Amino acid sequence: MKRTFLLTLFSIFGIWLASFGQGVRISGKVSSLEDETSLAGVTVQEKGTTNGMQTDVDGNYSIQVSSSNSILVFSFVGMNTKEIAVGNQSVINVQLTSDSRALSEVVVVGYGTQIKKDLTGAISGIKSKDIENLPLPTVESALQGRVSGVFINSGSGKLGQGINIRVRGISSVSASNQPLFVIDGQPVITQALGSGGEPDNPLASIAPDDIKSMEVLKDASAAAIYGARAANGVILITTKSGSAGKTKINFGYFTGSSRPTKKREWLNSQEYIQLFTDAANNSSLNGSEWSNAEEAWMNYGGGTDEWTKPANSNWANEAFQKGGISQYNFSMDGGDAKTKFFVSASYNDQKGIILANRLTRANARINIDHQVSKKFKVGVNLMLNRTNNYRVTADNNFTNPIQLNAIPPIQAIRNPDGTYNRNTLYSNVLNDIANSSNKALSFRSISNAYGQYNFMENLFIRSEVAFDIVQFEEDQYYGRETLDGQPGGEAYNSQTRVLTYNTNNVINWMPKLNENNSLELLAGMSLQQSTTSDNSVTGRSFPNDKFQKISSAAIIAGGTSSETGFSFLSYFARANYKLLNKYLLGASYRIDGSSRFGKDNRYGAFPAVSAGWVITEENFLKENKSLSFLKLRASYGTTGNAEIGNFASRTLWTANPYAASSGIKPDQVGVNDLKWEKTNQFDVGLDFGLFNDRITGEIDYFNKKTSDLLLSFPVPATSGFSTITRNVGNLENNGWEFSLNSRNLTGAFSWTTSFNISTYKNKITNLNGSTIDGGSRQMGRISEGMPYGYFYGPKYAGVNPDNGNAQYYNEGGEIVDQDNFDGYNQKVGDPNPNFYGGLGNNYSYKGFDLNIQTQFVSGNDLYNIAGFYQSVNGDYYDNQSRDQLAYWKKPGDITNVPQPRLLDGNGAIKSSRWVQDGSYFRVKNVALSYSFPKAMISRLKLDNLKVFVAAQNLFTFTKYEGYDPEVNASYTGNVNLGHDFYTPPQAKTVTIGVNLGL
Amino acid sequence: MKRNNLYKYFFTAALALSFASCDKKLDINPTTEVDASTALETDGDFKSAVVGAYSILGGGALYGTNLNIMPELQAYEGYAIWGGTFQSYRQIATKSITIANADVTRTWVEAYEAINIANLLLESSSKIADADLRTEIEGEAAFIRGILHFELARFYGLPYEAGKQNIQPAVPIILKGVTDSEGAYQLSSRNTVEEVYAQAIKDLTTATEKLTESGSDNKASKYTAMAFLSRVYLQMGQYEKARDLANTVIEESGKTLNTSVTAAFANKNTNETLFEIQANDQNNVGTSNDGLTTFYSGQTDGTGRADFYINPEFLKSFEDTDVRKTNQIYVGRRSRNYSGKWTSFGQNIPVIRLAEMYLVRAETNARLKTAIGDTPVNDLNLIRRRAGASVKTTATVDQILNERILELCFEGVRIHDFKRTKRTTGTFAYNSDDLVFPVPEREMRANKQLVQNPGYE
Repeated sequence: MKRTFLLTLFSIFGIWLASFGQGVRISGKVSSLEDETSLAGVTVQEKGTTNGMQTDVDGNYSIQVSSSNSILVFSFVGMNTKEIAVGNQSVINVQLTSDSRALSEVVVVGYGTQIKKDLTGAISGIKSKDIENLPLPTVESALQGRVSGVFINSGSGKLGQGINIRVRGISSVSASNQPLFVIDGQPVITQALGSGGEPDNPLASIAPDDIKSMEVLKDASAAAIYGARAANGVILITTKSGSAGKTKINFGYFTGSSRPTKKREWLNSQEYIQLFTDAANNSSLNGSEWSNAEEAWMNYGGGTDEWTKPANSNWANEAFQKGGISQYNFSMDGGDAKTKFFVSASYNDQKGIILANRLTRANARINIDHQVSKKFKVGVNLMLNRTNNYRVTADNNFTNPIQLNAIPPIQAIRNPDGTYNRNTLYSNVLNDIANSSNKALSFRSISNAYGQYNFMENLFIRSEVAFDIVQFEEDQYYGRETLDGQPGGEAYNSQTRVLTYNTNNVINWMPKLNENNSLELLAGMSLQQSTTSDNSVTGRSFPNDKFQKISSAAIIAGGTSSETGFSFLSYFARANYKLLNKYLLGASYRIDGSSRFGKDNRYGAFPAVSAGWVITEENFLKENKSLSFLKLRASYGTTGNAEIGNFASRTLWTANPYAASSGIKPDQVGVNDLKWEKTNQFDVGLDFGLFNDRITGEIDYFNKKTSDLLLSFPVPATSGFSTITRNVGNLENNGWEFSLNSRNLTGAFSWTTSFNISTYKNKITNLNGSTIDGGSRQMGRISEGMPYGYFYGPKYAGVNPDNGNAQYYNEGGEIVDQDNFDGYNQKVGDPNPNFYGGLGNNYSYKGFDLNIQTQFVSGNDLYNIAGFYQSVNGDYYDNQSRDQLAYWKKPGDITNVPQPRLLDGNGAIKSSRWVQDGSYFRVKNVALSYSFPKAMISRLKLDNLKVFVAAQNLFTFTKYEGYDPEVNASYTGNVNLGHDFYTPPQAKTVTIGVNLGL
Repeated sequence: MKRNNLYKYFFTAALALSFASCDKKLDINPTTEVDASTALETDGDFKSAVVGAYSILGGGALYGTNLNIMPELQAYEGYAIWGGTFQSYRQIATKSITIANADVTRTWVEAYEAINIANLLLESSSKIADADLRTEIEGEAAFIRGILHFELARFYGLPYEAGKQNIQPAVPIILKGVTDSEGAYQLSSRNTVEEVYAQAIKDLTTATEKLTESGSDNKASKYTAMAFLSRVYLQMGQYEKARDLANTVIEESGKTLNTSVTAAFANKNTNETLFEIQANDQNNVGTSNDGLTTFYSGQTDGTGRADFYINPEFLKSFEDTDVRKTNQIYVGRRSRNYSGKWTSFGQNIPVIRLAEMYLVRAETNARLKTAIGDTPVNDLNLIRRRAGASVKTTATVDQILNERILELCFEGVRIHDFKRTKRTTGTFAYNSDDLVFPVPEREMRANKQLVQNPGYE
């Protein structure tokens, strides 16, 4: 305190002295070169002195300097610093250019920020301008192709569905593999709430326009500060805040349409009849069960006229509708030196490409920061959201519209009277959809408030309190003529509330050492408590379909209410030390306690250390002209995965009613030492800058070893239990990441390129001798020595040219007809990619801006489970994909499609027949915009005016024959990656829009 | 300055408090479950646990679906047709069962879940304060343990053959409750068919001694246990014991045949049933993927999946006047015939009816050439007359066995009758390996002491 006082005294004295010297008064205005807006809060300083001040709200300054030899330095975060010699000027107006050099960026880290240059951890991310005006389905999908080390699979084209995000491989078998999401410092709940058999996506409630940046903490040094929940990586989302200066108002609007990335080809009536005539004739049942194809058709129960007067319906097309998206958003930000605010509101309406699928999202946000006094500031971030999701059922549900493609084309879609034909091979989903509704409505608020007190310039305490409130309602009605609702109609209503409270309290100290040493210390604690309560009721038998609420039901067929919760109590500390601007050291330590951990293992410790060496600061490189920056960094540390279930460690009894009597029974046996899964990660990386940082990049190698994997350890069922949850397994991930950013051209025509490519290799090293199989129809398997979820099953060997029989590989590798096949299973594929990444290019010229972002995945296999219904040479009555017409017809035919034999199962078993390479290259986003020149629009009193066209998933290049290679039938569970089962494809969306700033 | 001090103190205090917050915050307990150590304390807890065990009995893995439908599927030739998409049931019907068969697995798993509750009840029954209640609960537990060992032995072991040494493996006999992980890791070996039957007889005998005359809340009574015991002896070919127990049930239980054949299924807890799984609209086995009505029903209003329907050949076994054909079989969707015994999701499921006891008494008397209780022909005609079938003048064993098929069709006795009388179904001999379930794959993996059945290694 005393020192500060003295310093202040000195500087005041200095200024006072200067004003008595041969002082010169300089005034002027500071603005931004790009958009000509005035800049408030720019530091204006006389070089080599402590004499300085900041620009006011309108960017004006006035300063007394010692002489005309003085040099003024203008600096501002995010802008290039500019120095101007005073000379004989008295008015100096300055335009600053924004600092596009990545290395001086401020990066958000756990409980703080750091300059990218000083990082010792592996962090990548995106900024708001990367995703501006894009028709993103949800916010986290913006990371796809843009960030190295983050593998994203959207799973399907259903709106509001959960997305798979895997940071640096797959670290868990039965706990979650999703990263931890932290929004403005608060860990948020991302558990799926819906009943639909498939996860919904809680992050669908966040408006992408409110996001300032998203950072992915990838290695232990960056993530370990989040301890027991950081093993899958951490994604930090920071929302926009206000800046001092003129109040800026922005309106945006875009609208567009979407369609499937691909439609598939199916047999028409004529082709169907041809294939099935052969199939019926070749069948062993021909002559006993039927004597011709029409009889075979009638045998299943088909209508007479269908065979002789086929309808030629295109059932597959009926599953789709023309989709669309519209978004309105409004934001306002501004403030003065004391108070800054950001206010936004938006409405987004997406109509899915799948029948009846729609998602609307309404958001409002207020972020306010207020400087109460010089030392004390407070702020609040308030978000309100309503999301309305009209959902599509799980892929394996008969009411998934995509399953319509299974209905034979000879069956009519509608009856002559216009009603839907209900006598179809499988339920006519069109009828189900017309007579049912499935709506999920959610209200969410993720809000927090903070106070920060600066005891000294370099010591502050910050306290944050946050609430994450989700109110989720599902309302379903199935009419009396639907599969689920017959005979009297069925309604289901559920309410779920998730209430999460979190507080962070940190103390941050940067002791002033000297020029060559700097140190930053952080210590803190956090407490999070979350309670989920839900209730639901099912009603059946309604007077008619006009009555859809359960109060009209004659039978209350079911009802539940339940509550569950968890808590985390955590203490953490971190130190970052920098010596001579070239040697960097970091260390962090976190202790996490959780209600989820067994009573013998309540607390876990998660340390991490890291070091960096800025080689370009060394004398031997300092003068190097081309290499402007080179940093070697390494880190090692421990993180955990605490998504092990709320009460998995307990031995519990549950209620078990029997008709009207209430009963109880044992539910699970637990172990008291149950704990988090533990990941030790080593990372070594090289950050570089070339040609004055025009080219920057990073190379990383990581090695993650996960132990104490939580497994459902099978026990003899004779014990009354099937499994016990225990920490028994191990697995490993390692891989490379490379990213490059280049400013190819600067000047009037500018061109920048960004590229990244990543790999991961996963290996299960210990499963306690057991294997986990994905199910009888699925191929996924988890087994020691193999990558996660590799495909395991019979290997198809094509068709015997002599007799048209399907052939498979036997144990000895020999090809045998299916009758001689011994059922040998082997590795037939791997759903993990060899590499993945993205390439982006940005061109701008005189207000025009073109951004093309592509994305690729290579070397992953996909398995189409539905193959044994839809591409199985007419083994059953399902309509077939058109490629089945190439079936074996006569001896000598060389083909991959066996002879059709109705109900004989020729080549119909689960096999590699339906495993395909899922590599793809996708033009993910294209955005072309034009900003009208200032001169033209200033007459309209506008600050900016921009029109744009944008597209999502514009082109996809793949060899995969299914709908879309970015697929994951999530109902099949976490063992089965890359499975496709009537999974809806992604949408290709094109939008046009306008942005207008006042 | 003063205000700043205030903030300073406030923050320091807040920080100090937050660091001091204790780990009580980490004590969160489940709300829909209770800790095992406190589960069985009061008399009420014990009663609830018995109900919990019954709930498992009534589930789809046991009497709610599988213990009924699996014996019917196994002998479906010329009788019924499985047209459903469930592979596990198709495999059981076509005798091409895989070791991973989901239904073969769940029946094993859940039977032992109920047996574990029975064992836990027996081990801690001394905690029950009320002596009468204690006796009754011990009876219930013994009953549950006995019938399930018997059911498992019939499915997972080769048939019991009278007059032979039945050393073929059945299932492990489990008589000890599991309360912790150590107990859950215990491995056990398969006992022989002889041993498992002996255990079932022992438990059911205990049950007949401890259960009350009327049972409580539609749970097992003394006579339920006797009826099951009679079934066990019949399966073993010990006809005298089967006969005498059936006779005692008929004469002493106070049960009477309903006047109508259909009444036992259309109503709940009629006076004809000796044991009935309780269900209602809220709590039943299932309405779309499980349950007898789900699989057997193909009503035109859409109820049921229409998966398991009647072979037209079988219809010919009934006389035209037989109400069991005219009223208990109906033409439903796709013009097929369906069993009218299982038509509504919330209906109760009769497991043993008095009619069966009459047929047991008739058969055993006929075999033993005795007339304990009544003559075989009288007992036979009692059943036939009610059904509107022609009255017989004689009652041979074959006639009575045939009557069992007509009277007890789709009630889960079919394959067991075939096995004990050494009849073939289709081309499968009564003792074919294909008519025996495999030990489930998951169990083989978890317990290295188990030996797989022939044909599934």
